[in-house]
Amino acid sequence: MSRRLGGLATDLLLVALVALAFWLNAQLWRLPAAGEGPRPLYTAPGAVSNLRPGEVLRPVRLLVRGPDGLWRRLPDPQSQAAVTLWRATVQLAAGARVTELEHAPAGRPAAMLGQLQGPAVEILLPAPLPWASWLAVWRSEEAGAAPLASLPGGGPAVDRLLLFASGPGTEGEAPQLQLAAGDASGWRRVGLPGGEAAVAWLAALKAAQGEAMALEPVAAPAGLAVEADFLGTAAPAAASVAAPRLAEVRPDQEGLGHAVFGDMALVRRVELVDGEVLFTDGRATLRFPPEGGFVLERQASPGGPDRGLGRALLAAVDEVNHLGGWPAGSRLLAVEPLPRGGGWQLDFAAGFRGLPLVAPAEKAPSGPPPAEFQPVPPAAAIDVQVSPAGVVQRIAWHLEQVEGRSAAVRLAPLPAALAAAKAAGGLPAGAALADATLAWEAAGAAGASARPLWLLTLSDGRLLRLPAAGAEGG
Amino acid sequence: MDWAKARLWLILLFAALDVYLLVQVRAEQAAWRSWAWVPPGVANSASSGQAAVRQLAEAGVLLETDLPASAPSLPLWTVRAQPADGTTLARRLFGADGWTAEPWPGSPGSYTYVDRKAPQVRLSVLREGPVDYQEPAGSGGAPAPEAARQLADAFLRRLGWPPGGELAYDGLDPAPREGSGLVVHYVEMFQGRPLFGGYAAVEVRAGEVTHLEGVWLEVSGRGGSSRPVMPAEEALLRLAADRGANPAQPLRVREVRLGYYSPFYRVYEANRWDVAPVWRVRLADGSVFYVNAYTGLLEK
Repeated sequence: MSRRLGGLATDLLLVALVALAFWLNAQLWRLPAAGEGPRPLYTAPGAVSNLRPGEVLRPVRLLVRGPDGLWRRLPDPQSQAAVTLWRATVQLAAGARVTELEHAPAGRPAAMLGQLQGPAVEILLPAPLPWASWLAVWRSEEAGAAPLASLPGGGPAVDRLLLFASGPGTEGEAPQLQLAAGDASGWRRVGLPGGEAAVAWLAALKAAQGEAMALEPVAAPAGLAVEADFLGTAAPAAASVAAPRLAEVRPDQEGLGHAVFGDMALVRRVELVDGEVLFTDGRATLRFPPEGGFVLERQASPGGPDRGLGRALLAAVDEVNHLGGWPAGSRLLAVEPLPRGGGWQLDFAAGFRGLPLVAPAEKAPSGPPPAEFQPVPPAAAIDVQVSPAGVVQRIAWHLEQVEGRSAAVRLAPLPAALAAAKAAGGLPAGAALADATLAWEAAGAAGASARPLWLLTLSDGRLLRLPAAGAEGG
Repeated sequence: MDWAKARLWLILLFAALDVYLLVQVRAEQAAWRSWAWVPPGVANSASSGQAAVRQLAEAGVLLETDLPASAPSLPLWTVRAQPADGTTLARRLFGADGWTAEPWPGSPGSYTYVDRKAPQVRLSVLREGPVDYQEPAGSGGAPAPEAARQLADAFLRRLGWPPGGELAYDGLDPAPREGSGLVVHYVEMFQGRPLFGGYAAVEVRAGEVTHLEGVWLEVSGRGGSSRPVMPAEEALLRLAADRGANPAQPLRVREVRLGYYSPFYRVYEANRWDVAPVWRVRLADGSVFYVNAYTGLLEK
């Protein structure tokens, strides 16, 4: 009897445990996804979401100097020759042990481009990071390397590299590396080990000569400050290029909303009178302007420790990987400190055949914009604002997909464009022209062809745009 | 097969599975609770009664009113501003031919209707929905609260605004401008709950209605399914934390109401928008806060 009762009790216990398992399972299904749990990924059509930091922190400028003594610009960083040269350069530069920069003497250290005799590579990086950070970024791109979770801090900030052969560039010669801060606050020159890395670098440099665009000293109009080593891309008066024809990428509002908010049940939708649609949960606002793209704004985070520009860059890359993704050829164009509350604005741009593809210019903040020269920051394809603590507060994402090429556009040579800039008021006070490169500006209307422009880099790191279209070509 | 042994193994297996699932449910609830309020399963930290009052006092909240006993599940609602028929309103106020209409420069569809007999008496009807009436104040003392309310009620009946739906009395305030007067507040009601973005404020001075401003929202549908909302005690705790209240500097709570929130500027910028359930908290110093009843965030 007691055994039978014991058996019955055990059966009942088993039934109760099975029922409890079902009930708990149902509870798990009933709970909605938490808004701050693991974030779903959203990738816009035509974009990719798995870029590593090193892939978007490519050089802004890559110049090579061959045995003929001419400087050339490698326009397309994705080309085989450019990739080979970049890898060889990084491999060679990684041998440099640098702990501090010397205070710069009078004049910019880079003002020696014209004095070099042998082969050389000059690299302008998009952000001033410690040398150890750059090495960590480049190592993370090697096959099998772990994802980059943090960047080592400390040490001098570097954004300009010059590798050159001390002699005529014969094999077996040990090249030298000169590191410099772009603001000319310091520089350092170190010898590099020779050997196989140096031989590979010289070979890659020679191979890249054929793909490079020739540069020439540009006679700037009187009164327009130009740095001593300023070299402009040689563009003959009759040069014409085929412009990319663009199609707007419209993000999926619901999909992106899920990636931002998790559960859309608590999110309010607002249809504005100008056609903009926004979603908000009180903490974050996701806007879809009628001109395309999206803007995500988060409430300012409480002040945390300043984790530096390196952390901000990693946070921005991670955020764009999660929301929207990257168009082909994306790279960081410029970094600007935010005026209020600290932090940085990071301007990323898509690319077309190696040239940056930037969004239409914003209007000048006050007064009528000059007809030919627009002294406003370029609105790049993706702008990210990051707080000092490394929290992404705002991301403005606007991409246009290249559909094809339209009729050729005749380019206005740089000297003519600079003359127009001078006539329109000149450069901002105290700034000198450090670099000029061709770029494409999205037209702001779907199906329209992009417009060529000269993207000017000033000595203080600011970017300006200057129309580069001449008359229509055939 | 040895059923007794198998049964023992099954009991151990399901016991382990139950423990695992219990841990998962707890973790999911904790993650969700940090994002949005979840009804507690057994015990509520801010449970009703004396314990809740004590907990609120410790957090720096002094109650001068009773709190609503329950908080139902509520959905988001989609609303839009309902523009008024200005001509009809002007006819009711000024007579069939007793007015002239002046268009608003730069705002097609917006008009000011001027009384022919007293040009300083004006009714403005904006195409976005807001209605504004102005009449110069006469001389005389401040009206009694009950008289002010009766005058305001009668004015709204004469105006015939809003055209449908229900406005509910929502309190009295001293008039903001110089002189003595009272403002009678009304709030739009929808399904028995206040929709705080729809309102009328009627200013009464010296036995006359001197000013009216109002917005009427039309509910066009649900913005989602019903969700549990947090109880008023929980909302007050969130507000106290946001405002940095403490027992030495407490928030003196005069009124707590559950309704729907809409920022006033939405009628000018949006065609259609969702409104969320909120706890409206009125303090003894007259300040008003709206606490999102889903998330506990302060609406700004």
